[in-house]
Amino acid sequence: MAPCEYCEIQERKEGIIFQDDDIVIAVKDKVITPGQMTVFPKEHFTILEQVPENIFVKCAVMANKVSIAAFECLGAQGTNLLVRNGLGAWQNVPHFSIEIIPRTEKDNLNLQWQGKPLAEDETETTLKVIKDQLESFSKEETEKKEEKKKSTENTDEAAKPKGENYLLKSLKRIP
Amino acid sequence: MPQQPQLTEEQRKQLEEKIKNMSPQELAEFQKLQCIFCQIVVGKIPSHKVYEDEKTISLLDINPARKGHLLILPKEHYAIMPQLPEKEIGHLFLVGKKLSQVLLRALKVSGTTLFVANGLAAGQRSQHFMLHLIPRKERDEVLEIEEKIIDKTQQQKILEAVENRVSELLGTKKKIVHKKEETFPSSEKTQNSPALNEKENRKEAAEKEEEKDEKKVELDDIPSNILALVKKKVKGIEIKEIEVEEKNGSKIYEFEGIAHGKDYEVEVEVDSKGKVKKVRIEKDADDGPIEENNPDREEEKKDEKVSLDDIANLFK
Repeated sequence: MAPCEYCEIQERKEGIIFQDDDIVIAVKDKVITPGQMTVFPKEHFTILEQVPENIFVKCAVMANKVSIAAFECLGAQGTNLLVRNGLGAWQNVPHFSIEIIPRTEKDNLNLQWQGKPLAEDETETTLKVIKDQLESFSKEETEKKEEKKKSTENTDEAAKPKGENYLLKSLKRIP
Repeated sequence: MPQQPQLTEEQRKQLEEKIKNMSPQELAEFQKLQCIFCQIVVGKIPSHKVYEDEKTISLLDINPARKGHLLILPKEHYAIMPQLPEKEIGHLFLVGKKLSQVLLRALKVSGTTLFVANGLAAGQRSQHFMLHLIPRKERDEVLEIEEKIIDKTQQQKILEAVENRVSELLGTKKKIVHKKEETFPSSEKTQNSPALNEKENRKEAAEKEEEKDEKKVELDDIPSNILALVKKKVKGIEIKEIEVEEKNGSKIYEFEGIAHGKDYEVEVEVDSKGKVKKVRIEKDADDGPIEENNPDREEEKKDEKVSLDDIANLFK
């Protein structure tokens, strides 16, 4: 299996700002701009969907604190938080993380997009498709929680959401 | 986004005067009226809402990067992320996680991007904090990122610049001292060697003596305007400790910190309404007070170094 940059950071112990039992905060070497930092779970989760809720929340809260440190210690005038989830989102490290990017007014970084309004009917269809999926997803979640309550032995495999395997497969292609 | 109506010079002055005299509550209410997203939250401005719960609201961006681009907002008005209580951050991001899964299935895309912009310099376009959730397809020209490698010396510099502050913010108060060779223990937790621990213990014991009826507080508990004032009075201050004392209905905040290698003590007295009454600054304990005055409430912020509150206030 191809080496994972973040698992390697843990092994080499380089660039680590902080770590505890669950997560690591590190300075990145492959960056959009110097000062870029990353918060990631110690356990190797590839995509957001696999990350347990408590770990994800911890990463988010830590990322906020790192962001504050970037403001106060790196002279940042702004910060971006970024999660690249999946190949389509240019995820280049197959290990889930939240990246913190320090920004200044004159850094000329092009971290944006060109917005374009949708046609009225497209908006309506999109809205419906998302809401329908949200409803069935929420039902699934409730059913799963009830299952979990009933059975005392529940492995991680059973708890994983279905339908994400194609995303995992596509990520295994990352060199 | 619709343009704010242009005010004449006279109108602007009147408005500024009005704002100066507002109580914090009135100010918050005023802010909400000016904020398009607060208006959306209360239903005064229509939106394409996808999901809503007690604390958050998620809607389709009317000017999306791609079809299905969602904005996830706290219902409460915050300008930037550092202003959000931790619980709300957690909740907001969990909504993001859920909706990310929903988008993947609903739109059959091969990825999602979660994106936050804190501050104008980071591309923040709205005065109401939000999490962007963008469904992605390969080569869709959204957030095209170019990366480069930085060398180890630069990496190390950055690490040394932030790690103490990060430790502070995480509540692992120990100060990490850098020696020439790596001295971090091989265990997972980066706590310091016994010698440094002892030094810290002695310092803490000495400080406890001074405490009496003063209560230690966290940075998060301090009202942002007071923090901004302290940072303005002592430029570049790194706050190490904060204590608060209640006296005759007023609150006295005592900030201890270091700026340009010197120890500073800043005392801010605030009345029962939250208005700053007095500020006292002491440098290097022996020197005695160097500044004692009653500051103005609204001043032009022309600092070289931009503070968190300046960034948030840009949207007021």
